[in-house]
Amino acid sequence: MSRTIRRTPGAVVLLLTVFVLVTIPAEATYHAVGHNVYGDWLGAYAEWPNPQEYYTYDTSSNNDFTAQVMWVATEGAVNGYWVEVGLTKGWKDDTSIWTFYWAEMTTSSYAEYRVDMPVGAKGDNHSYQVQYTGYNEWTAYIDFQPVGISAQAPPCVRVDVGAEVVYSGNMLTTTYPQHMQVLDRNTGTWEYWKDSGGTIMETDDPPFHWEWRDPGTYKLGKDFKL
Amino acid sequence: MRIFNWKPSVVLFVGLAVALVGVGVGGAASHQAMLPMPKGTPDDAVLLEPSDLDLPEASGGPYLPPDRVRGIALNVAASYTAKNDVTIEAVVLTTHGKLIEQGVFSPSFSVGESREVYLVTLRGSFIFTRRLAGHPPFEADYINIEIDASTGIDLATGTSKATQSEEVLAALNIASGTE
Repeated sequence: MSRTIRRTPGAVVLLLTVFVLVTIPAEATYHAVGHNVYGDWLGAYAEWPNPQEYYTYDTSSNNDFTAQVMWVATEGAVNGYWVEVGLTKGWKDDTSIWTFYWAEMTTSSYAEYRVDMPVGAKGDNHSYQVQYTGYNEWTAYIDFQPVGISAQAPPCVRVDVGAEVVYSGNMLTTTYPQHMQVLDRNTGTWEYWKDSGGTIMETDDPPFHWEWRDPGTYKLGKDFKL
Repeated sequence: MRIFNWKPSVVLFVGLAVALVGVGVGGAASHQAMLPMPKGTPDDAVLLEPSDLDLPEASGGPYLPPDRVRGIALNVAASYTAKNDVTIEAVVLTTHGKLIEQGVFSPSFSVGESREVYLVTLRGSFIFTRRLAGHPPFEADYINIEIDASTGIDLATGTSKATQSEEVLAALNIASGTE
């Protein structure tokens, strides 16, 4: 399910990552995501054009959704705490809602927030950013506009970009996240994933898959299901 | 009167050190517009501040009746559970800002702080399925739902236990007659 795209020194680190990403059961949702793991960052950025609206089936789940998301892990942990921001078809009990949202898993609680901004038309490009803004606070932005602030400690050591789906029958349309970058804590500069010092990986929960369109720069990818 | 008999170079060094510490501790948060922007973004792109946003503030009413709010909350709660064990514990008319002040929700910017909202607290067996890949779904037996008191839009759902305190509920309440 998970495989490295670019080998980095440190077999132990790699094995640990594979352990974390593969052995924990992938219950309830399916992912097709690219990971950038084991960095020392204070922010993450990606952008993608709106796809054709996803089709989300209303199955036995009352919380069916199909979402394109950027997750930013916090508290210096690979898995456990994060801020996520993205675009979802399906929001809580209404599968027809097509909206931006953000969510947070902190050391004490979990919460989801609907973002009241116009999504626009198919092909409209939007940027998604989560950045440490000091005082143990991370701010989530869509198109450079703040949508929420989460109280969590730095740094970020993992960023994921990709899709999350409740039901394997949901229809994903092709999307191309691009300009995926992280904010280096030591230099204070934004770096493309390939220059970020992290380990680039992917997780595909069949039948979905992530396809690297430009492995040289990790600029383009897609989530895809026939 | 001189308290310290320091040489000018020492004073300069100390001043510089204090300034650097100030930048390191507080500077990152002082102004988002000063933060570096990602590569490839427009030259004039800046990160906006919450104060730059034009958000819906207090409507003054009319507000949805509590029974309607209960129905909305139960529909939202049903999306997090397959069981039929959900009970409503409290319905409180409050403001978006008070929910943030009391630690029920984090700051979010779909409405302004003065906007009137309902807080509904519920008990049950809830599962949140949105998650970081590899992380198990988050389970909770207690949730809070924030609903815009004028439009009925559910703004947020979370698992803070702050609202289990009667003092917090009292501090949130901006109207008599709520439950």
